[in-house]
Amino acid sequence: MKKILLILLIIGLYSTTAFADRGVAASKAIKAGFELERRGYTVREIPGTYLSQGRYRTYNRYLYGGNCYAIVGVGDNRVRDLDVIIWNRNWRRVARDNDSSDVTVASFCPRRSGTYRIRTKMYRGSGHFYQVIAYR
Amino acid sequence: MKKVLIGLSLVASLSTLSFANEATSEDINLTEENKQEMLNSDFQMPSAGALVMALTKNIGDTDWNSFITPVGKKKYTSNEDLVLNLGVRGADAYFLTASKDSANLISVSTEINYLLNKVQVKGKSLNTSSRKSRLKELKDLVKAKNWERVQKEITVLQNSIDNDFIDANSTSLMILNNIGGWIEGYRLALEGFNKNYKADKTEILLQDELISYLYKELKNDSSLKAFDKTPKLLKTLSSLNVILKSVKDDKLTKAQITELLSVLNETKKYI
Repeated sequence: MKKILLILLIIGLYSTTAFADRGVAASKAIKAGFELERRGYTVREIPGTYLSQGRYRTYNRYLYGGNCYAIVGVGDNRVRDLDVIIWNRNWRRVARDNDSSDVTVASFCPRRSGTYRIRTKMYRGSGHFYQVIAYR
Repeated sequence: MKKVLIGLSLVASLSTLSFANEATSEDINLTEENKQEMLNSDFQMPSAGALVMALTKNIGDTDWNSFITPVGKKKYTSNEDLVLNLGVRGADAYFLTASKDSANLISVSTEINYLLNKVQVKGKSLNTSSRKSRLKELKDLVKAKNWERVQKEITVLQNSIDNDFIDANSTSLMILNNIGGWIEGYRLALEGFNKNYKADKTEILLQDELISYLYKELKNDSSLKAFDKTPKLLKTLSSLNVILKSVKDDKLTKAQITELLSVLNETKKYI
């Protein structure tokens, strides 16, 4: 199980360009992945990047109706507050987590299959973050 | 201590996970510029694993094995051809795992191993020694019928192959791998509905967004213009979208499913 998550993490690491403090965010992403797997999810991917305060990153993902998805964002120690909002293809908001925490957790079971837009914003702080995308 | 706190904080955050159905909440004031920027952001094709899981929830357990013919001797014409077929076999692996079929899955794994040995990315074989040992481990897990682990191993394998294409900047190969995987996954989904038709669950087959994405990617990739299967693949994707455009009330009729299936079965012979 550990090996699987480590490999997923390495895939995530390769997709980013910045390096500082990435390990801390990576370690949190592994823990989040373990926790999700413990809850019966399959971790599909762990993309990530560096964000400065006020900036955001969007991931467009096609999600299937019938499945339930968990989208967990974690940041390094310089990240103070991460927020996430998910829209469906008609720009209706379907999930969000905007509390004042450095971890975002959004979960939902789409009624319809389609492309969903997952936008994570660095509300306070700056640093690396990873987005753990899982389904069950 | 810090590690423990991080762990505790994560567990606390994840404990808020709930499974609300999609809410129809208020519109967000996004400008057209915001929307355009988001539309142009990173997109990744869904895995066949996510599709088969959703299908199981929509139409129940299905004997996918009956729709997947064992791999026979096949002559591949080019590196592109190998990658296209690698995508097809990857999708088969996910569906066979859902069917818990050891014999066919071992045969598919052997074929995946063969294809990985042959595929070249920037002059190097895709089958690294660590990947070979993982494939061996995968076969052992299949023999042991540890289906949960098998499914996870296949996900890791697929992700790591995608990653190799990304690292090597081999967008063309990534597109072909995606197309192979999607075509096979969609064909199997249609077979499932053909056998167990449930009109009110056919919404999952309305994958026009994915078809349009794949069509655009394939059409715009200049290095794939020379690949002999590109015209046929484009025609297939285009034909599928024409049929899907005729769907009314988001429900496919049995006849439309048969029509889609006929297009894909014809394409499968060509692939």
